[in-house]
Amino acid sequence: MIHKRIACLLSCVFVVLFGAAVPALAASGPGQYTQVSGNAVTLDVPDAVLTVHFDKPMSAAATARAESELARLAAVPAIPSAHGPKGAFLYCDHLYRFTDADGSYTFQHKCGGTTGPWGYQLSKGLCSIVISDVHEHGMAWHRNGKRQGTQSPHTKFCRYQFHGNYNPDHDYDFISYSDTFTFRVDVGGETGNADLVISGSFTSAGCQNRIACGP
Amino acid sequence: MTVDVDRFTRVLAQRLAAIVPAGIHVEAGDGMLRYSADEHAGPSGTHMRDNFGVYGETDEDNLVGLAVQALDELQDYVSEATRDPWPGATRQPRPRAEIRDGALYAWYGDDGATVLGCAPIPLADLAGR
Repeated sequence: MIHKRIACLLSCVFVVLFGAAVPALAASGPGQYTQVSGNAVTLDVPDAVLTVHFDKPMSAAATARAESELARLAAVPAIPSAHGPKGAFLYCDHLYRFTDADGSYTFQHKCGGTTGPWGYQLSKGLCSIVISDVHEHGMAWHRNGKRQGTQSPHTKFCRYQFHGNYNPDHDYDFISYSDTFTFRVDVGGETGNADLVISGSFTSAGCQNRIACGP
Repeated sequence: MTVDVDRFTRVLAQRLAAIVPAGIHVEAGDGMLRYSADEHAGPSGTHMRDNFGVYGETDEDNLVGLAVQALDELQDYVSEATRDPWPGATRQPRPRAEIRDGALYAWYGDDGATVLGCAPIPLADLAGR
């Protein structure tokens, strides 16, 4: 598990990291956050990073309300709980889903095919504090270490199934990806702008021997 | 030839705007093709300036690669906005592009048949000053 520590130094900024995705069969606890000083917050989690920039400096009471709300969201159990794909082998003809408190990332690739459809859906818990449409910046990705064309941006409702296609994606290509979702939030009555960054990497594995194919 | 990417974006936006269904809009702005619809869909687009260079070593490679990406992403956008396959009525044809006779050709089609195509873009119109 990759742990990250982010400290916010601005008085009106919260940084909250929710646990990110891992293969569907792995088990992991939900993300945690802790306030370290003032409005600075750290959270040790794998890959997804949610940053909230509140509109105004917060009182102690407002901070407490926001903490409580964020703690509630971070405690939402992910089913199946998992960390984001980090170099895993994702075999063709399988639908993989990686879920955490922020949302679910899905990937599939047809054996012998040339593309890799992906999807991402923000979680119900996270969407419960979102008060605007969600702007996806566009999936940035590398294939076998070479940058590929950043994919389309989209602006949709929170629970929209964002999706795209790694094209080309051949058997045994190594894919790394990153995308950012921007939206407005209301956390315990405090509003602000939030950025959710998702990232991961995997081998889009072929399956020459059905017996050897993974789950 | 050195391509002016923003000029390419503007010209391609004009070509695409001419072939999309009514209610769908294609414009150029901030290094992107921007797609919008009167109903059912928020804005989307294709990153042009940022992506020029990822499709190969030559400008020609990148013109073709970016044209195909734009056609592909526009196809996805229109189909979702209209809730119908586009272009065509059933199976969606593949986006394609090539350079021949000094012009960029971009179209949707399979098996040598063109379902819908853009007017060719003379490469001379895309040259940087």
